[in-house]
Amino acid sequence: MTARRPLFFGTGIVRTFRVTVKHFFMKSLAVQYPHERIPITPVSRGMLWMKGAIDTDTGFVPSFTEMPPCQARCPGNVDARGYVGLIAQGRYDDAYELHLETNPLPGMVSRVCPHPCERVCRRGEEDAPVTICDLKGFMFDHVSAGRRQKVFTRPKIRKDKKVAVVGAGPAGLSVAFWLGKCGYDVVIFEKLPTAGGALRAAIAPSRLPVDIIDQEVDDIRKMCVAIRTNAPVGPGGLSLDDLFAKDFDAVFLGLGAHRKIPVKGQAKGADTPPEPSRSEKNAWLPEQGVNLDDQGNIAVETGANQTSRAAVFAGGEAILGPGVTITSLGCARRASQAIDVFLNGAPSDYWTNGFPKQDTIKKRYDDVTPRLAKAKPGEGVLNPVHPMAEKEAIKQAERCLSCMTEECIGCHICEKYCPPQAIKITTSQDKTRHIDSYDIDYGKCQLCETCVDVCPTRTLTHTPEFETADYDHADMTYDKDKMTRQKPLRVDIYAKEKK
Amino acid sequence: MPQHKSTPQLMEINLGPQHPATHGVLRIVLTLDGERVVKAVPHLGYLHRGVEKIVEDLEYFQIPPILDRMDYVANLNNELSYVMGVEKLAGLKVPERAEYIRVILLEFNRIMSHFAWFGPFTNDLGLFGTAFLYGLREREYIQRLFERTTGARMHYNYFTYGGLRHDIPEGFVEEARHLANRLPAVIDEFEYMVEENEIFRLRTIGIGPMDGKTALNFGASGPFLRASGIPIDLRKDEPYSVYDRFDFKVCSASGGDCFARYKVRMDEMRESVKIIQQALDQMPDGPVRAKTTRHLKLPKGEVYMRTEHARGEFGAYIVSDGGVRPYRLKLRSPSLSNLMASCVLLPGMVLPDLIATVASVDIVLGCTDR
Repeated sequence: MTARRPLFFGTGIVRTFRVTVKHFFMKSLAVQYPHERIPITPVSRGMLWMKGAIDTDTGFVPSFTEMPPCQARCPGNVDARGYVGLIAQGRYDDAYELHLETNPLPGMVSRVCPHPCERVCRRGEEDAPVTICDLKGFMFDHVSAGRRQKVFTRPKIRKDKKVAVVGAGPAGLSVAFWLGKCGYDVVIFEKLPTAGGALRAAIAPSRLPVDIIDQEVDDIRKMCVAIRTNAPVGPGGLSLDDLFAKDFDAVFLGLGAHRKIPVKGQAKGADTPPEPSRSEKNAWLPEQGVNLDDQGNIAVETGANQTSRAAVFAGGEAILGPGVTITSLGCARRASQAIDVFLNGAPSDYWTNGFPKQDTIKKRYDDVTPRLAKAKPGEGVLNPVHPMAEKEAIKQAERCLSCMTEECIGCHICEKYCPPQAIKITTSQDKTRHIDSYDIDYGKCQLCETCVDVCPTRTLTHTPEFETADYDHADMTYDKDKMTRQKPLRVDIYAKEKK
Repeated sequence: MPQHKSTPQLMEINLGPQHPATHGVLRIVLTLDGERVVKAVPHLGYLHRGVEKIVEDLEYFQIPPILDRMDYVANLNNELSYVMGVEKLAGLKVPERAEYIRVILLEFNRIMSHFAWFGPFTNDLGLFGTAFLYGLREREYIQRLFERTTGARMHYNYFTYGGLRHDIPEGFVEEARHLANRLPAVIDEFEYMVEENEIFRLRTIGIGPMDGKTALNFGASGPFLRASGIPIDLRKDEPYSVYDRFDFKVCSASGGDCFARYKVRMDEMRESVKIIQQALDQMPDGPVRAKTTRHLKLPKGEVYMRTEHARGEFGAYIVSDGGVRPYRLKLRSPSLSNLMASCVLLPGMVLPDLIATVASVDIVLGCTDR
């Protein structure tokens, strides 16, 4: 309750109004506009526009500003959307080449990966995730020998720098591949008689056949000067100083942290010697100037993979502790880039001139549209199925929704979830299922943004453009031409107020 | 009911559904004896859209935009009961920042709603124009903040289970603080404008008195009930969200008449401002949306979540059969209960008092008819 002010007008309706109006219009309080003082970016939802093109006339180039969920979730950031799209077109060689950019060991990884990508697959929210890991194995089985030969060739332009990779596990092999691609001379030193690291030592052959390991190790061998097995670095072998004395310019420590996992049913015998802990294994490193952290892992600068000793880098389980293969690969990729920048001064062309990304995406939409209606529930399986039939693999790959490509693929998801059913999509009835028309009836649209929320490709956007008034109901229906060719009028409705 | 023997001829007329004083499409069939109301029968359903049936075909994430269309004056309050019900059943934890932003917007929404009530109410009393425009003008300032925050002027669709659809825009806190600091003076101004006006007092004091017991029996709630001397406020009695962290009092009045209802709303707005200011001070940083799946499946079960709407208790009763859509969603709207309670007051009044009484209840037909 505020203090009563004195009654200043008498009775009579006419007088009351006259006085009231005059009094209050004179008050300065009444005409303060907060927005005159504080500029605020409007985030209004207005009209619905399509970012991307559903026909090629618009010349729209997708920006790929965001990773699709599968790639973002993958510890190695493998471009699953890209290679699955290529598999859908039957371009297994291209898919393989694209895959090697982020993971040079698809054969081994497809057998052991826990595939977190499938857990976040957007398609999984609709029915069942795309079986990405199976497709990876399928791709590895179907890549042609000719393309394999071409990909695993050391580039002609050499950099005349030598890198020693210690440990022929997944991390070491990947680093050897990428640095080989960049034009460095790589020598791998492996303590054991065979290369493969944890994947050979700790994974049962029933799960990961030995011939797959042999094949991938042989592929990587082509990218290196040599893989020296039975050549330990550390106790009983070469020291880091020895390596630098042998004209190596940088050393990558991919020492691993695995132990031999006892096979189920095979009890650990009393005479089995206890395996040394990680701290014990790595105990020789501090003497060489490489510091360890509390857990006995090699300590590195965050994100740079640089150890405390100059020109010595580390990656994989040696710095992360025991984990999954794909995590080591992601770490190894960062280490490779760091070594490349350390030796070359700037990133090599390989990192930027990879497999053309737009090609993988563009072609895909010309040929294939996912068939949402035909998906079988429960199609996503947790255990890899090998081998996969070609017909089945293509069908599976076609289910990919191509998230975040900013181009409409005609998946009908927005149509399905539009509460007032304002969206109408027609697709051609032939095998390609091209999108024929995309209409939004603004007479029905309630601007609830549900379509924007559910759009897997992020094609639909809302703008602060509110001008949807028209004289004819037919004009209120916006077709794909109106939504794509016409540039959205990004009118700042607060422009005047801001001043 | 007083008997008037002098005028034996009764006349039956329609008040509404297209009448400016019925606040929407309320139709009251009146039996009049001269100027005096003998019988008043409200007819509902002119804005019935079958919301409760429509939502049975929608997934949980599609429902809030439909709920916005119920009480279109205090939309965010509608969304809250539903999203909190879903969160309760799903066991979702809302980030703290989202809770604070919710409270700030809800209280602004309450003030907006009361402003939108204040203007037309004075209009119905014959104070044509001025106060009406003042009410709508002040509402517009808050509306702009909402527009920038939620992207819409009316159907905000901003709350979602797990938090908010997106974070507040840059400068929100400053503008909200500025508005909140300014509002007490505005409310004073409104009071100053009408409270000592003799006509206003004559038209409201002692008009349509409601005793608390009858109101309770009819299930009335909100300012309508609190004006009858029963200080029930769910924000205080069953604190939800983060309302237990704020210092505010429950406003009530004893008169039960139109003036008491006016007074309760005016006081309530001041308390809302206090809550906003405290929330703005306490608001932490962080995410505004908990991690949820798009096609949320609620476990089998049922939940009733009620919150203090601008008009009273707004409840959402969700029955889930374990699927992605609700098996049943019953919505309890305060407008309907309050309207039913007020209808017992109408017989015996003169017609202008009926208009004042119906206006003071503050009904929104979108909420009443659903």
